[in-house]
Amino acid sequence: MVDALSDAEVIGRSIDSPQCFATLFDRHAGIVFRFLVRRVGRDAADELLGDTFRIAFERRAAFDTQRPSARPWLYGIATNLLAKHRRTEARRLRATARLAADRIADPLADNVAAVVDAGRHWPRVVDAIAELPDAEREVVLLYAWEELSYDEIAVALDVPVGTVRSRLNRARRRLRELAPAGGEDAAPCAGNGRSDR
Amino acid sequence: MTDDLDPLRRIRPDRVQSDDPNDPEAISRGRERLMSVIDPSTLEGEVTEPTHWPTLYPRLGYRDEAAALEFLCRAFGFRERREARMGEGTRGDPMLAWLEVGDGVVMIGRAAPEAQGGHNIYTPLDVGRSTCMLNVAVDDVDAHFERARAEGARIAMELNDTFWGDRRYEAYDLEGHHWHFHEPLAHVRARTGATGAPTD
Repeated sequence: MVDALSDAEVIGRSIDSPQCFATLFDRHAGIVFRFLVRRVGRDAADELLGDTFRIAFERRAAFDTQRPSARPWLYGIATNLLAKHRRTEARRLRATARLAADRIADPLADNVAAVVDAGRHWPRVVDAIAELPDAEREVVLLYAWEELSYDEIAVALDVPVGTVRSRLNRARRRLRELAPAGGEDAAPCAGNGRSDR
Repeated sequence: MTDDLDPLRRIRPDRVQSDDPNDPEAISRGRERLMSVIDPSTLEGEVTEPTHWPTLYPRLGYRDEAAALEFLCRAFGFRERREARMGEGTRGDPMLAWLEVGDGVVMIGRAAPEAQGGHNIYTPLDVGRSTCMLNVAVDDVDAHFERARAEGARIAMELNDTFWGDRRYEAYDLEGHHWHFHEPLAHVRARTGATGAPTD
């Protein structure tokens, strides 16, 4: 019967019956954990998962019950916690870039030059992500990795939707500049045999 | 959809390398931590048992793990540990799911070579035959058999009673993983009040 309640209703009940809050954990812990693992890896995520829900529980009275889903709110709490783990995050991004160079096979990458280019391309992409201002990186990663809508990101980060849109635009522009991904000259895996960069 | 965020999407860490995170344990720990914060005095005697994770559980590969999940629950009566699920099971986002039956757990995911972010685990659809059989003790093997057949499971071996004291049958799931369901004959007799004569 608890299953039929919206998140807002579950949180409402948890004010008087705290154990109801476990339902919220069961609904969203998997998603929140994956988000944290993507950003900072398993070990840090393990700790941050518990912190996220502890903080959510402690602040449950402040949840805006007009919103049926608690997910953006939980993303927001988790995002705040990530701020203390920027180094871990940067390390994970760089490790991912190294793996990507080996693993992301481009259908066009059928010669050595293209493979070498892939080896350079992914570090450029992650550098570009890592160098974004925090406010822009949060928006762009919630959008591209977590596939949240503008509205959900606005709730998560507690900013107006217009701010989400402008941060995302700025981030896109920077990513284009820092890690050119379109156009022939910039195409990392076009296989055009360039031996220089 | 192709736009300037595509490189960013492609480098999402779990797309580059699908972690095999043994994630349910972290989830269980997180839940325990939350429950310890929730004031025990308000629990009204309701205690949440920590989720049991067997020392050994298999992971099966499927081409369509979302369909497999639905089928295993519907036809074989497995129950998903929903809080553990990862991924959507869509084309670009493989799903990992954990199913329990009794005190057993089986994990299912996308069959894929390592180069595609998988674990070189294959489905019988790739291999052409099953390479193992999964044995499951059930409470009422007769009802289990009827349900599985009604829900479209391919029966590999009809219900039969064995000399060592089990009633059993075997069935394939959607992609040909081979399942064996059994119930002790003593249990069958207690359940039916019958003398234990074979059913076929």
